[in-house]
Amino acid sequence: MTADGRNDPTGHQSSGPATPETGVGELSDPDVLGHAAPSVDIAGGEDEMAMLGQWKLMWIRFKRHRLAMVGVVLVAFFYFLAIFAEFLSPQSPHDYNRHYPYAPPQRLHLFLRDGDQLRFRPHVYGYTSTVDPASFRRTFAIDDDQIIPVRLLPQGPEYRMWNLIPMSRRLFGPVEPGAPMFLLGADRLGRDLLTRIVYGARVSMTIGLVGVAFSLIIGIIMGGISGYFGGVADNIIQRTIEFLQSIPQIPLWMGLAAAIPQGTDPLLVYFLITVILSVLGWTGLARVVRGRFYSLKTEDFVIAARVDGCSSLRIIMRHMVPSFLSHIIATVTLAVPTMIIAETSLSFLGLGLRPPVVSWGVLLQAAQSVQVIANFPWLLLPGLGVFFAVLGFNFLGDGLRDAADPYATG
Amino acid sequence: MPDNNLLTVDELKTYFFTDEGVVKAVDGLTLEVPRGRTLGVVGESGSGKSVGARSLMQLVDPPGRIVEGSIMLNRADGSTVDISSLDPRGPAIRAIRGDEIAMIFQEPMSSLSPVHTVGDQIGEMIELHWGYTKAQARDRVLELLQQVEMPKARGVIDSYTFELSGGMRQRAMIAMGLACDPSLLIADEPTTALDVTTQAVILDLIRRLQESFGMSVLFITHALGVIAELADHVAVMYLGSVVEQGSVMDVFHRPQHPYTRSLLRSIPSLGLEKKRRLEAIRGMVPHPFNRPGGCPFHNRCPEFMPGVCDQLVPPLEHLDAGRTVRCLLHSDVDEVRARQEEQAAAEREAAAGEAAAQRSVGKRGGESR
Amino acid sequence: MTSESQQPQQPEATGPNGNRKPLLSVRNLKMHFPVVKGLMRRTVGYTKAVDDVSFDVYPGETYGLVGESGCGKTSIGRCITRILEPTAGTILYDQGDGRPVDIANLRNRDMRPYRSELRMIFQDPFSSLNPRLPVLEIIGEVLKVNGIADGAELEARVRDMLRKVGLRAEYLRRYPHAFSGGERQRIGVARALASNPKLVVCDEAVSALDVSIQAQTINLLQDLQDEFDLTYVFVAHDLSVVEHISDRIGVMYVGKLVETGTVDDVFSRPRHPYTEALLSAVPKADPALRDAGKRIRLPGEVADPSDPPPGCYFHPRCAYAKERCRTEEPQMREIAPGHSAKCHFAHELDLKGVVAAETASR
Repeated sequence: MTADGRNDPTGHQSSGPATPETGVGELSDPDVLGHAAPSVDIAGGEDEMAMLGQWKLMWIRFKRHRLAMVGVVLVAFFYFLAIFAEFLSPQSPHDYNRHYPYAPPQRLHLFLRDGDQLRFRPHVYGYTSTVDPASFRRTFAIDDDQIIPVRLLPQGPEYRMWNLIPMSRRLFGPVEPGAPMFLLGADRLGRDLLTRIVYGARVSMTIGLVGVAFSLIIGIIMGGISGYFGGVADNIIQRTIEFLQSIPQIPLWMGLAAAIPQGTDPLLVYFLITVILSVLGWTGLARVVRGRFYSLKTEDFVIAARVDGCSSLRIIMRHMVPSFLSHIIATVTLAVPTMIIAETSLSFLGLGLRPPVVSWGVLLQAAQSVQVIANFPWLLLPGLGVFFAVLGFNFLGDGLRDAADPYATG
Repeated sequence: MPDNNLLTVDELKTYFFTDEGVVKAVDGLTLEVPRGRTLGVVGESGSGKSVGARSLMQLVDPPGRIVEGSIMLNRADGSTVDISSLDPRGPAIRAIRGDEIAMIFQEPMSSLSPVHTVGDQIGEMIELHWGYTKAQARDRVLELLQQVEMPKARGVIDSYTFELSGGMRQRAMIAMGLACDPSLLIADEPTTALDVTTQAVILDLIRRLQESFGMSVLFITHALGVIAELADHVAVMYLGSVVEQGSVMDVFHRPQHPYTRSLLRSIPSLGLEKKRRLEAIRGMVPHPFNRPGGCPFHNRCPEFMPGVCDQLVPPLEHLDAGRTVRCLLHSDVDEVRARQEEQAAAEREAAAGEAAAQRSVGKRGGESR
Repeated sequence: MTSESQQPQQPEATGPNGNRKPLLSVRNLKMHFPVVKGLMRRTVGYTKAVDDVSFDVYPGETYGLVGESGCGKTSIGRCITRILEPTAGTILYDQGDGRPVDIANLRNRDMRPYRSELRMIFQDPFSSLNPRLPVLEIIGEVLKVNGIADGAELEARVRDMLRKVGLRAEYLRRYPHAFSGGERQRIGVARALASNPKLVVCDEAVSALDVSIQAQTINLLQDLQDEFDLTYVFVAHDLSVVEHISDRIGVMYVGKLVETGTVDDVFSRPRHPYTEALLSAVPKADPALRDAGKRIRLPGEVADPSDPPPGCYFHPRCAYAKERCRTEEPQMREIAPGHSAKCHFAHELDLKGVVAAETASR
């Protein structure tokens, strides 16, 4: 009636006849019936709302959170890059071109002037290089005369998608395989930075997830024991958490990472790094889980389940876990960016992942000196990847946290 | 006539503008708080009694605000001020709060600070409003604690609120309310969280203090029994408006509004015929987004008149002995209908005119509130 | 387990229902909670929430338990439904087959067959329903876990139950958030009654409800009691409600039962000074009674159940206390048939009940 046509999630129509008795049906109670009352009619919209479970209610609330939707788009974008890295990048991450070390970024031009006409002919311009005789430094300049045509789905060298499917076309690239196209510039060995950032997303975005998954497993088990059983177990686990949390993070990680021998298989290093990150990561989650268990244990509806005769397992799985699952998901989402930053920091310091693995941290290692940054600023671009990924996760997690309890307010 | 009243509230409306829509928490509150007497406000949850009380001190938090009506306070110096027109954060209202109008709440712990001693908290108010020194304020606090019959007042003045029992906390809260000798004390369910024996003691105390301080008390509660024990006048609220107001004897013994009648019949009372079946009011209190049109009580009313109560908004009718009631049983239905139809027509015309004006200015409608 | 021998603590002779055997027979029930302090979680004492309480509940009656917050009435309800494991004492539950079971000393696992017979209605209609489950599963849980019904049969029973509590059967796929407080409490009632229980503990079942909804719910509870031949243990602090709904009541003070008997006896002629004070403190919904009768106002505060005073726990606040009350703890004694009190002077004192005050003013 007063909603002014605004979106009213309770589904009450703002116009039309007033509907008395929200949701109360015809009560069979003789006191309550009685005489010709205005008939009880419930708007269809309300019925729908009434039957929505927690996930749908959460989704409704989540959708209203604008920043969270921005977060969803960012995170989805980066995972899309990570999943289809081979296809989306114009080259292979290890293709190098010794003619173009530190080649600066090119601009992609879509139209080519052909006499009087503009024709749709995507292209980039090539480089001319000059070598300074004194310092032997090679400097590049964009050369308008060299036109390198670019197209969608060009034929190139063969590669295997996900190491399985043999393919030869990528999303876009120079028509002529091997022609210099460095949209975001090249690194010291003339490798395409765009390609490497896309591949880097694969490692950097998954290491957070895997690390959090480890943390989550340990955290739920430890927190669950702590919260449901309490007593001595709780005491020991809590003291352990306090002990672990009082160790300074970076030195601990550095120490553990330094213990990984040189020349270890890159895949194993990747795995070990996630384990190292989880060593501390689980503590926070365990506390969240424990807190939820504690507060839920005395909640009336959990006691009601005991009166119903439910077993401990059923109480935990059916009545308690669903009540905090959404909170856990939100917490986990907020833990992922910490992991991404941690991996980046470790790799940047040379203690985490090492080349030939490509991650954003590894890429940033190339931008360690002021001189490099001053001369080749595009090497900092992987940092933007970290920035937007972390931002996206934080927005997303924030929205999830706000939506996690759809019953908090009406 | 208004001179006998300390506070006159007229057609006060406090709405909450939420994402889900507008909640009309208080919708046409008309009240008269007589000087030196106790006005009991009784209502169920959702009746707007608490929001109404907070509105009287401009204590409504966003997204709520007073949208209409007046709150005329007759001050000690003979002047009159309309509280509803004051800036909720301005110095004028702050001078009134705590000094001329004080408020005590249901849960003392949420309004008393846990990190300051009882003496410091109450003393600070006195220093602030009356410009007392610390020592003067302390003397006054001690005097107040003795007035509220605080056991071991000398010890309590230096203790923290969590060290006190529920009853003692409520006494401390009352002492704080009385600190600046207010002309009106608003008590919002101050005994609801207390046990029945403690409640009885606190009610006695409030009654005694009201007499000795000569102040007015606005006592808000859902318990009819408490009202019957304490109040001189009663206002019964339902869905944001006062449906009936009058002296406590009149309202309890000769209720005029069907809601009051039903309410009185629905409560079990000590010592009445046992096992008499309670006469319950049917249905539920409507959801705030779903207020019925016409009389807000019509869909639960045992004396519902089809075609009348669901169409017309009952106007405030004055009965004898200063009683008011908002029920179409007491109105001239034809006259009310004529008046409201006229008004509706006028509004439609105005709206149409406005819409036309908007259209002519440019297509920038839609943002109507 | 000290008083295993069933002695003095006599049951209240015969119940109001002639010589019927009690459905529930609580004897010397104790519920002590350890008070733990410090890092090492050492037990420094016990809060005696329930201390040596005995009473009987007869089939088909409503036994009211009244008292102020912290008196242990809720703990008794929770011992009967075995949410709490009593420290000592017995709770004999007799289904009528002549072989009573001691619920107080059953292991949790062995308690399961009785879960569907001993049920509970909670105070808070909001926190007692799992917001993440639809009504069907909330009400049906007890049928499912106890193997009473499943699938279509379960749904039919839940529909039936919803109708019985005055809600539409179609509501069974709705979630609790779609209901108001009064409706939620009806769902709570349906959950408690779905398994055809013998005994229902109503723990402040109407206290959180609005005045108008309270009356509906009380009526509903009474109708269902008649229909299903239920026995209620009605735990509440509101004496008017307890008087209205109960047949017999027990008055509690600091973990002890101080008086028990039929409602009429206890309310019209209380035998314990605490009962008298309690009755006197209840606000009467009639302004004409305001100054009628003597008002008793208790001085001081309720005793701390972890550190109660010696002798009679009530003596520091009792207007009639004598030297004996300070040193010797009174025993529960039958003062009149079916009416017992725990006071040394229960025979001598002439205490004021509620009907007396009422008739005086009329």
